[in-house]
Amino acid sequence: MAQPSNLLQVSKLRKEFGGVVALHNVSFEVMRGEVFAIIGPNGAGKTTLFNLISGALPATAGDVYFKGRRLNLLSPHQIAAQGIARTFQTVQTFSQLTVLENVMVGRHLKLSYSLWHAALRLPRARAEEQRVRADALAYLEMVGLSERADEAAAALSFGQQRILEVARALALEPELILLDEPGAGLTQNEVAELDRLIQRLRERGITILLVEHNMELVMGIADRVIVLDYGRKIAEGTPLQVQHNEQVIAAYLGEEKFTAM
Amino acid sequence: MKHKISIDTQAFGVGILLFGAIAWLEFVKPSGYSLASLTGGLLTLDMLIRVGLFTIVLVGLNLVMGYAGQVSLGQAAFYGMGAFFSAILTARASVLGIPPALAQAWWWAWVVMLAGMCFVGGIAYLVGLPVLRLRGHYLAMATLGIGVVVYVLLKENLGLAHLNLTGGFDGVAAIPRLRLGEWTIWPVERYFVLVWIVAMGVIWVGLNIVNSRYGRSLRALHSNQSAAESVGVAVHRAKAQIFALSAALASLAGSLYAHFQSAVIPATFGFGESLELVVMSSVGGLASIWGAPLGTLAILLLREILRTQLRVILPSAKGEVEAVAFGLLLIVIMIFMPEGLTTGTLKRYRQWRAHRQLKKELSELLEPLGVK
Amino acid sequence: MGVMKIEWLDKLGKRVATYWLGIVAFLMLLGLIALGSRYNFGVVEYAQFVLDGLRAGAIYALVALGFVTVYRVTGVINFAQGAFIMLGPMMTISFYEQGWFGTPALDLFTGALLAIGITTLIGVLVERLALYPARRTLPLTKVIITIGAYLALQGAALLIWGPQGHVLPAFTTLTPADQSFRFAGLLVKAQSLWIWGTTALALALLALFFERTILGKAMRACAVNRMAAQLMGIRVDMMATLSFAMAAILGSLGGIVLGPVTRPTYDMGLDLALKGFVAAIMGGLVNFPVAVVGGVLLGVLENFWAGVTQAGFKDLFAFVVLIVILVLQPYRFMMDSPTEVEPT
Repeated sequence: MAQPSNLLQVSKLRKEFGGVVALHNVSFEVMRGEVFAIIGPNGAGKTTLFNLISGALPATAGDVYFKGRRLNLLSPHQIAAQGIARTFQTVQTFSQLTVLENVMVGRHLKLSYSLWHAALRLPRARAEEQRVRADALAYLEMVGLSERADEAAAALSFGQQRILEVARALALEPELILLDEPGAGLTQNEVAELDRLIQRLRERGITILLVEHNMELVMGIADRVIVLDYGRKIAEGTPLQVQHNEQVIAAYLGEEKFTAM
Repeated sequence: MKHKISIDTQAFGVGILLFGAIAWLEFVKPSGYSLASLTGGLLTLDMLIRVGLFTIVLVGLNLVMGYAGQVSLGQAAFYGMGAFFSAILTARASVLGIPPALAQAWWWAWVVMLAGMCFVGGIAYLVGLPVLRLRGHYLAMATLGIGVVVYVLLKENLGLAHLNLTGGFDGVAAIPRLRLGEWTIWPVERYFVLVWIVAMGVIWVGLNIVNSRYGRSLRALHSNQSAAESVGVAVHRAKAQIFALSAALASLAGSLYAHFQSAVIPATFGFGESLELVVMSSVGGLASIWGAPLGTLAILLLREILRTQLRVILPSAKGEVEAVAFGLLLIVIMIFMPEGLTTGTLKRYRQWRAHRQLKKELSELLEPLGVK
Repeated sequence: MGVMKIEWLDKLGKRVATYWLGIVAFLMLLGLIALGSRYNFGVVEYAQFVLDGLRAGAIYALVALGFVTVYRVTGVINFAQGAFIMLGPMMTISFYEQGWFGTPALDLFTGALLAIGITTLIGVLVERLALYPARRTLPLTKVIITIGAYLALQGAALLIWGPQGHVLPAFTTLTPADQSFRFAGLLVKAQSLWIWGTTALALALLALFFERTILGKAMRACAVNRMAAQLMGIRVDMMATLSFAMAAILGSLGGIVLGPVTRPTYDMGLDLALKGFVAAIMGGLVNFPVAVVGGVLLGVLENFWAGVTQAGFKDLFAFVVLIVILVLQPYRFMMDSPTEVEPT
């Protein structure tokens, strides 16, 4: 296959849990450099979709291609090595590690010294560690957490932990980043900050796949949107198009967030 | 991070000073004093050698259990494999058809020791890849199973009765002392120095690994496995790697044990020994490299004190009371200090300091108001 | 690609998983018979293996039930189970030979009842005094506490009864050397009948308890969802104590009926406990029927194995099976049901 124009291609992806179909043959393409949002009511299968792309769950059927390469049989760490980073719906920091160490773990793939180098603390290990520490600090600087670098991650506020998770994902230098409801549970100010952060990522050329409930956030930054309902894709288009799609309105009927728009 | 390293370095310095002082005391014997006479027979070189050997095992075990969060109830198997690997290839070299010229060279035992580490580590890696996918209790039981299987194989001559390699119940005797050229590492003072130089080296390696990308990803996967995977940590390989390293360290300690005792029997490496290792590790503090020597020393001292003191209190008591008291003490320690002595004490200390700080700030705040 | 293949594999996997215990046991049996062919064993020898294996298997099943009961309610693997198994016969022997603090020697039945009662009390004390205070710690800490309890109890037994083996008379004949009779060419020990009878009775009572009594239902509720059970007004910590009491009863009972065919010693418990544990884990530590079937199968296959290989390798079998079971993880599929326990 020649270098495709899309960065991520999801084709007829299907997931069943027992007899329940959580995701029903969903297909879409994400272009390089765009902010692509997935929205839908609770239980629509958005997080399941993320878990299938990132390899956390095996798909029942269908395929995921990243830069033309099939991801299906890869394990999560191999998918991360391909250049896909993610955050989680419920915050998943390494709570016992320091804030800095959290980001340093995110740089894991950029380190190559061996167990021997580590065990004997050879110059190469020391040099790489120093570099990674500086890199990690730079990422913390970027998201505004550098002052808390030496504290335990568990000591951060909920919103800060979300930001830390983004910083950790960024440390992979991914081409594609999956953000799973990054705005959930954040204060108004924190959401505004998140908005700015996502803009900055876009400027850096990182493609963003976003699951989000906060419609204001989605409509403000997304280039394209798909809508899931009961595991099916019911609409795809620009935020404006999707907003006026009748099926979408029906699916969201009664959901305040959307009608309030 | 910086202050952490400096604490380690300080502790290292203190350790080396202590080690030097004991070695000096034993070699020079100033005005007839020795370690045993100064501590009323409580601390002997023999015992400190054991502490050193267990420290080597426990540094590995702590990496696996404390840092990576993977329980191993079969660690004594690797200890035993190392011991028998050395014992068989040195004392029973002729049975295996190894030419005497080779087997009697001074460096042979050292080569065997290294080969044993590679062999045992390799086996642990292969076993660890599937087994360490298990979690919690299942992992604990699988490792227990590994321990029992190895124990039975040692006891049953590996199923090769005609070769009588492991000697069955009686084990292997007449294991030669270690030598450096013509210089024999014996009597016990010399062996003490050897064991503790190795133990210090292993502690240093352990600290290095904890503070490297390996240690970091182990702590990360302990804290949150799916998140660790999502940033590219190959968790299963990382676990198997550290398991293999811990097995290699256990094997090293086993080899040193074999040359120390100059006889090994399978009964030393059964399930009871694995349990004891876990206990030492928990008492010392799982997530702490320094917990290894401290936990070992604490448990061995406890045993010794129980044995001598119970004789004083209950003259009629036999060794059995010791076992009862040991079990009960274990329960008490686990109830009141579940994180172990090092981590537990450190935590108490931090709480105490934070409490004092708070008190000070409060009183500073309240003093101008005239409140006491 | 892949769609059909994966579904097909999945279905096969599920089918295999459902009957995995039978399939694995059958394959092992074939292997063992193949191994035994060099000894020219006939049907009678094999039948004898099965019969003797059933005896050990019944005990493993009883012990496994004790493990499952405690694990389902508390999420703890209880090593003290090994001590319960040993305390039963040891105390029975003492009561039978010397009586209860000055009373004349008791008859076997009273002695056994008393022994079970005291073991139960010890079980309750272990939970109340050692595990309850540590209820908020990690599972590993709790396991170490039960190990401590085991060591203390085993030490106490060594103190009281010494290291030598003791003799518990056979129930029917009251002689140390149990009588056996021939049945269709097979040698049947009379004590075996006691073992099977007791196991069957214990199983029936246990089933009745869990199905028919309020207390049993409350315990099952704790196993399914501790939090919800608590909210329903079930006293979860009391259920934990009860589970230890039941484990103690099952363990000591197993030890007592086994007593006459072994020579009970202070350290007899650990081995039996570990084998019982292997049986329990076949049902993922939560499934009572699979644990029983697993125990019986383990006993039989182990005896086959011991018959066709070097005698000293007998213990190898259970643990090789353990590792294989754990690595293949067939119980994963069986835990789709709401019986899954999330150890906290």
